[in-house]
Amino acid sequence: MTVTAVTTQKPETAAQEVGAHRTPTQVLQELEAKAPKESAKSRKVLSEDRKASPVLVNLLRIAVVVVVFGGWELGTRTGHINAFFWSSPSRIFAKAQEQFAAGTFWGDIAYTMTSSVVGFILGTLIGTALGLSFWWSKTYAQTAEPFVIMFEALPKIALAPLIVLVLGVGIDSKIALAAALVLAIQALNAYSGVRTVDRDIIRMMNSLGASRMKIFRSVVIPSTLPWIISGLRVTIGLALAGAIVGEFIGSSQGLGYRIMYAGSVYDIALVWLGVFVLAILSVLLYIVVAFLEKRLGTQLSGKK
Amino acid sequence: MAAEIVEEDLGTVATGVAGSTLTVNNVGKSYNIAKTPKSPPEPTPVLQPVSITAPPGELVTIVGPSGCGKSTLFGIVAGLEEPTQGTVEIDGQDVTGTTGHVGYMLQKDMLLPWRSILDNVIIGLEVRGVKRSDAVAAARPLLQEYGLGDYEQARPAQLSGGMRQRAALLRTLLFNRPIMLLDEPFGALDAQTRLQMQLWLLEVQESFQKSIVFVTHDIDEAVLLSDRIYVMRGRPGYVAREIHVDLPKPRDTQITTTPEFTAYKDEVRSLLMDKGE
Repeated sequence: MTVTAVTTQKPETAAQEVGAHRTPTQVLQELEAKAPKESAKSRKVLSEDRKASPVLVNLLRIAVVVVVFGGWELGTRTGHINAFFWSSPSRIFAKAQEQFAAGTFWGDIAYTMTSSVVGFILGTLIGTALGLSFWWSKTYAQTAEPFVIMFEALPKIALAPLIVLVLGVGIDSKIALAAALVLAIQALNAYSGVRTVDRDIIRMMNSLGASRMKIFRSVVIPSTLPWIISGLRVTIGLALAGAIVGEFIGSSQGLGYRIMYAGSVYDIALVWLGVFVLAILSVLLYIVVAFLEKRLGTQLSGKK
Repeated sequence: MAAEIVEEDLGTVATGVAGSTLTVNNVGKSYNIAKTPKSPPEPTPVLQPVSITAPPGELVTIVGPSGCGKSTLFGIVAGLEEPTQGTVEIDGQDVTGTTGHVGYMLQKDMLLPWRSILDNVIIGLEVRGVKRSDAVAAARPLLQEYGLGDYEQARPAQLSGGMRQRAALLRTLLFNRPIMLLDEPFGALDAQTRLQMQLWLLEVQESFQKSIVFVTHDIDEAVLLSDRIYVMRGRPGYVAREIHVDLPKPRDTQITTTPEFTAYKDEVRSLLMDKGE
């Protein structure tokens, strides 16, 4: 026991003796001597906000399109890709000319656009109203919360057959599906907004003697709107998906119906055409919504 | 000069431009707080009964450490909270637990970010149902007079902290109540802006003769601004002393170096530092 104690103490006292002689400067100098040499090397930092060259980016984008479509076309011509299942860009292009010349395709586009946009607007309005209504009563809000969350979590697509059955194969069922998808998300967004309203501002408004209605209109609605607006970009895509699924289930018009029909008769070029048109439409809708978002966003935050 | 014009404009908007007497009679507050998660909630005082008087045109400061119940007292005077005991009176009329009698301003400017400065400062008048054109007519000269004329269409986010606080004070002023409660309004500003704002508040007080109750924990600020100081202490808080500040008015920064000023500061500081009950 005593022996071991002595031996373990020895290195400590030695270290203390050495330590006692070293000044802080020496400590740092010794540390520097031990540090690996590379770490001292200075290197150029890649600037985080260095801009990508727009010309290069655009060229690369074109290159991606050329490689994908060129490869696809080449693959089908050389027989590496089965043209029956995958079709080919040239066939799709020919199909597009044929379809747009016949005119029915425009009707399909208009049908799908109408149901998604109307569903989008309805879903946003109803969802926002629902979320905002939770501000008025905590009892009501807390009672409703689990049901709203359940409805949000539920894959609404599963309701599609039911909705089509109840509302028929007309445009109503497509609008309802699109709206249902948008509504749940925006209701929760609005509720989040309502819960984060600045309590001090409400206090200030109360001190002025403002009524509940006045506070709701002047404070709660404007401070909830950014939450709704930031949800728009996500929900516009969902509205389109809802409309398409509605058309899949039962319809006699629309891009979803056209794609479904083309698939069942193995007209793969038409399927692709439908998909490409949908892609273009969704990008267009996205751009419009992003523009609206920017406009409304600066209005509300006051930042230019 | 300009203040005269402003007062004329305000006259068309509302009554009670000048100050009234605010009397806080033995107001105390306790909350039901459970000391441990399992024990039943029991009444815990946060504010021992305090009595405060703010006569017309006086600036009364409440100085005290955090947690002494200053803000609770303010909430009660503003009518946002019910006191457990005591009454709040304005010119002898009992207004306990009712809102809309006083202008109220906090450290946070609480300007609505989606409104222009002009629309922000007239919100109190809007709540009172004053016609927008009348409210704007009253607000414009005030914004002009206090250096916000060029910013009436700007959004709060585009203004500096000092300017936002000025807008917040103008909003309180334009609510046009005889009594204004300012809860550490300059607490978040840098020292220089803060001093400017203090001098500006003295100027505003001079022209409008409102009764102002001002909460702060800055002793210099308290002595510079006040006609009387209530020093609060303890948890739950109580008023340790009422001090009348007999420094000449109008005041400016030069006064801060006088022996009288220092004497008042020492008195307040010794009260605040003194741990004895």
